[in-house]
Amino acid sequence: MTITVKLFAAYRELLGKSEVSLTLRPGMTVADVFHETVGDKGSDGLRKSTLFAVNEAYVLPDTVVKDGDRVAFIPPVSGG
Amino acid sequence: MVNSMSATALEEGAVLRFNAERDSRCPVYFLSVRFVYTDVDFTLEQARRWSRQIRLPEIGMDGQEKLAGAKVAIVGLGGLGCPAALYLAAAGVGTLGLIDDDVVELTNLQRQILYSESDLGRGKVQVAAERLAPLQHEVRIDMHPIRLDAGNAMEILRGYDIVIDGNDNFPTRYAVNDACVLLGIPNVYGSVLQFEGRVSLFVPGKGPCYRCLHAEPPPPGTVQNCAEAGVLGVLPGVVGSLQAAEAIKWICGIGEPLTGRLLVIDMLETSFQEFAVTRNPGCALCGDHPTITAPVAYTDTCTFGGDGEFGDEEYDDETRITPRLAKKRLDGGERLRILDVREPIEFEMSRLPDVKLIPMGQLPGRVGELSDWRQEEVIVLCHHGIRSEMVAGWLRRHGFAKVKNLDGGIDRWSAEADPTVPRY
Repeated sequence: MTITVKLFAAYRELLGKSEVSLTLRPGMTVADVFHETVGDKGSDGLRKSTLFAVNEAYVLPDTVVKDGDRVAFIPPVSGG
Repeated sequence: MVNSMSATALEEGAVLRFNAERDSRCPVYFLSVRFVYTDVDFTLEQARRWSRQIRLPEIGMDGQEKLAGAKVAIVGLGGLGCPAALYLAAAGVGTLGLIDDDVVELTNLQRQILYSESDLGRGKVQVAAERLAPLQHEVRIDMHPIRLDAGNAMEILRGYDIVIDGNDNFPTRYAVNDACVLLGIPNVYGSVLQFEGRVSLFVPGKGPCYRCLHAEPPPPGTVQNCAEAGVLGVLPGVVGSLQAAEAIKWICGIGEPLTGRLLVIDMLETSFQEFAVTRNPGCALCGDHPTITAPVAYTDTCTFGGDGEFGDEEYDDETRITPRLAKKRLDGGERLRILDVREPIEFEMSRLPDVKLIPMGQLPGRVGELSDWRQEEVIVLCHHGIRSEMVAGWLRRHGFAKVKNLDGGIDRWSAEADPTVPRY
């Protein structure tokens, strides 16, 4: 199955792109998708403060993704 | 309200004269009808001043009266707080609490539209008050020229009807959020970075709080701020204006509030994307079993402040060194390896002598140039010490034995060790 991952702020900087497409085996969670996409490039602390969304709705990282889902990683930004 | 009189007490003739001054094609007649039969205290001048929004059926005289009675706190008078304060004062909000401890700096003028070149070095709260008072002479301004933190947030924000969070650092964001939830005050959240903006409205008991979205602040060095990463000047204008609009809607009780929705704006694409956000039952602050009972204090190593905001502590340990101690060692004749990871344009503006420049993004491809440094003591520097912190960690993981981050970056070097190095 194929999903798209939309990257914001620090994750876009980290990976140098705003969107990636992934082919996954069924049953994977958002946390697995995060590991596949970001791997050890991001810090554990940043992951813990990241907002995860599937199909434009907030989810917890243990949510299982389905074919065609749009996953988003939204880290905090503080600028004002 | 000073010099006001009840509209119902006005002679009808006065209202008609007011009406007759207007072009007969202008639908002010509708306004005058509402004006005569609404039992609120507005003078003719006030009714004229706000006529363009009073004639909106959703706002009307009732809404205008709610605005006049409202107390709005604005935390941070930067890129977000400036437009929010201007629009809220112009809309007739009765009381504005202005909270910021910064002074106006040259780098602010690109986006902080309350300030002028002649204001450089002056306190933002003072300048803002001087600018807002002539715009709307009846606005009451509570001046708080201090930094809002976990220790004072409850005291400062208590009594306000709604808070605009436009500050620029994580400790203050969490302090605002924690205090708002604990006090039951709606919090209009906004943040910006580069071309990306975010807005939401956190209403205690009616949706998520900031902690539901981001449970804890990110560790130092993992996210950049505006000073590090830059920001398009007009972006906080857009986001701050949206925050003002949400506050006005909330005060008047109209429309669909941005509760339960996180709006993410991409100014490069000019796209607005909405994410549905819900309260996290596991949230430590507003969840089912909260453990936070007072605002939590965090150390801020993610943002940069102006003069005098660096700590007094000096250190030279395994992982970091302060500019004064590094300068002392250099002046003592030691040969220290210094790696500057800023961008070339920053290097042009300000630099230390005898350093190696490799911008952070180029380092993985150019690390071979540092092969002689693997067993040496290496000091990494950037503008404020955030990028260099990331690079120092990366170098350690890639076999460099002794890597230290220059705490506070070249900016702190200018402030504390050598004022001849330009600040930018």
